[in-house]
Amino acid sequence: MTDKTRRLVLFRGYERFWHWSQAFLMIAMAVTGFEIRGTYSLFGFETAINLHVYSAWALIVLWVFTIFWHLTTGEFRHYLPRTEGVVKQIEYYVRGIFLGDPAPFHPSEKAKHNPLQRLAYLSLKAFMIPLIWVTGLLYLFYNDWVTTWLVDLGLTLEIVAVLHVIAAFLMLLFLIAHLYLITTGATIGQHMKAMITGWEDVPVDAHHDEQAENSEKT
Amino acid sequence: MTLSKMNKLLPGNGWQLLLFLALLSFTGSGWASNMTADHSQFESLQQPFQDVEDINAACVDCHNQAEAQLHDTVHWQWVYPLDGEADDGQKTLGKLNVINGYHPNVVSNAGDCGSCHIGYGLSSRVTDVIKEAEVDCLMCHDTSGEYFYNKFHQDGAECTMCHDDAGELNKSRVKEEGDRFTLELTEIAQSVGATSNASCGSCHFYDGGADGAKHGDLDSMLINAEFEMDVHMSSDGADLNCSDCHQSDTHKLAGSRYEALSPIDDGGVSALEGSRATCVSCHDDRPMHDEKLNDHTDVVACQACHIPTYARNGIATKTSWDWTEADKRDRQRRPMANYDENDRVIFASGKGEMTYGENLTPIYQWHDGELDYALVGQAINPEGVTPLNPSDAKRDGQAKIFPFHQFNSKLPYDVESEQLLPINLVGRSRDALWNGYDWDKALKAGARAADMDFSGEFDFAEVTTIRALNHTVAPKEQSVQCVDCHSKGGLMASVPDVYVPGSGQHSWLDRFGGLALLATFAGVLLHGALRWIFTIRRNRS
Repeated sequence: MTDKTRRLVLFRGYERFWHWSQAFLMIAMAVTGFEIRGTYSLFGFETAINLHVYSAWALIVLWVFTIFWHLTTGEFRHYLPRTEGVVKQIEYYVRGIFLGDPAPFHPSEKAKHNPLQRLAYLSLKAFMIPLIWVTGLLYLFYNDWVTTWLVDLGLTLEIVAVLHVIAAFLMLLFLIAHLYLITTGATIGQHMKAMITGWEDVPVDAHHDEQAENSEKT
Repeated sequence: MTLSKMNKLLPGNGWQLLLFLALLSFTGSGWASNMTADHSQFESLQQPFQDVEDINAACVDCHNQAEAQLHDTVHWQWVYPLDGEADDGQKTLGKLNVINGYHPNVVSNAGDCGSCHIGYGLSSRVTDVIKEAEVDCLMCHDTSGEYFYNKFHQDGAECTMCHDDAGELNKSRVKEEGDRFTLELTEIAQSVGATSNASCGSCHFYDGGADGAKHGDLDSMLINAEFEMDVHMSSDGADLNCSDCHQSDTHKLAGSRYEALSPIDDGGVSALEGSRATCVSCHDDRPMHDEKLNDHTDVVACQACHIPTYARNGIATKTSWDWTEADKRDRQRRPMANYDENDRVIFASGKGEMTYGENLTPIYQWHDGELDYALVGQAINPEGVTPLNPSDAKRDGQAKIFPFHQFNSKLPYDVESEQLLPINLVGRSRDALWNGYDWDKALKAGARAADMDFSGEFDFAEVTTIRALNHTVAPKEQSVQCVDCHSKGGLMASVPDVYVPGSGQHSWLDRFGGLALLATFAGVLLHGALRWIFTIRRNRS
């Protein structure tokens, strides 16, 4: 870790709004969803259903805006997978982090996520969220497709429900890992601070990833 | 405001309900004053009738098609389909042919069963067909409430048919209160009118040996029902009569159990299709304010949620009837009866042991309207319980989950042929169970009347009957709530082929999911702990 740092605006206003409202809504959906599943009783089944459905619609609206934002600002590039640096990042979490080695990756304007984060977020956005959305909407609109060809394909409410719950468990796994990994910054609170304030202090002379990115581009 | 919305007979709908009640006061409840004929003014009814048959003659003098119409109904013929014209491979059902777990069979008991027939008495043995004869119009069209009382009590009906203890419990009351009914036949004849809950109920409330005994969803409280008892029949609700749903077409009433359309009717049913006596024929299949609730109606019958419990009007229904010890009498060999603390007959000579229940939760199963009714002589299941009206309904897009009352009985069967035997219950001879209290003789006489072989060896078999629940619809606030089904061990727990969120299905998924979460949590805890330990060690060195 070098003393020389520069202040980098990592997460812009909309991004932070998206992140935190999404976090709130997803946790609300998990809490109500597992009540609907019968894991515990909190709001009561009927209220839980209503909260779950309203949260879902709110999330859908949020996502429509966010997809638009990703496309128009080019932010989607931060989630394109790359293999370079993945092994290094894994090695760091398995070994280097204990020995106090410097982190192999520091965020920059070009790449705000480390290679492992890219993969994790991509799988969240491209796999888990679509899975839970599609199954959730099928769940919600069960009566509208139960008389259609979808049933002939063997689709049942039961299958939809099981896939929906599997997706929910995957998202919870993601949440646990996510919550832990935000403690692995230069300080325990560094990443959290970045997501709240939007900026992060990154080492001036250690952002070789940014250089690598630049050299790729040129 | 759509018509279907206004048709909701549920409380709390403010002006909708008021408007509906206002409409009804023009149509249903106020019929008497709206009738186009005042029978008391008819000359033919202004004569001193000595005989009820003379009243009938006066009726059909004007209503000259009525008898022919009635001869062509289940109420007259007691067979289904009418005239016994079942399709190939189909059974001919109806009271004359089926066997049930209450008073099991007609056969040789027709004379006394006939007290509920709409004619002037049946011959003692009717196994085939009820011949066309004079129809007793007053049976249904008396409005005084006295006629059925007189008919049952003075027409030679066996007391035990309606009173399990042969009326013992009521005798002191009759002595105390004197004659309750004093009208002359002429007065009764002049007050004829439309059927009412009371006139239909004179048979349908009291069958099975006591008020409410047979139908957990029909009892005498419905004559002046409170709103909580039945939102349709209560004057605080829709104030409907039986015949508002069970409408008649040339005296044929809709809604026979043999034509149970309730589970399979979807959507509004055109009036051109005739009377239906089903929920959706008035309410449509999406009548609720909450669309998610409406989504349930593809597989859940209205009754399943809106009749949350039955026998809840303060009158118990029978839950079991064991005929085994019906031949038992007291030490002086006189018939006896035992009562529970609510004066319900729990044992009676000639009947056996009975149990009761109130506020019962239905059993739920798939129902497509078809039940396979057992006939007299039904083969028993030697391995266990014999269902007397099993259903093979399953989820098929038509069938719905429906509430039923399950009734368990023990009935006599021939040990050799393993067939249920008809019982000869009534009559002057000692062959009648209610006269001689001798199983051997009563079963021999019953079998003889039904032209069945009887080996002489008999035992008692466990049988069950299920009865679909359609009446005593409760106010919506008391209907089955989400969580009653959507919880572990909920009401639908034993219903196959339906996924009920929250009912704990696929518990493997929760186990694996939970384990994965625990493993991840343990993993990050371990990782964090190691980081912490290594940091401390680094700082020391």
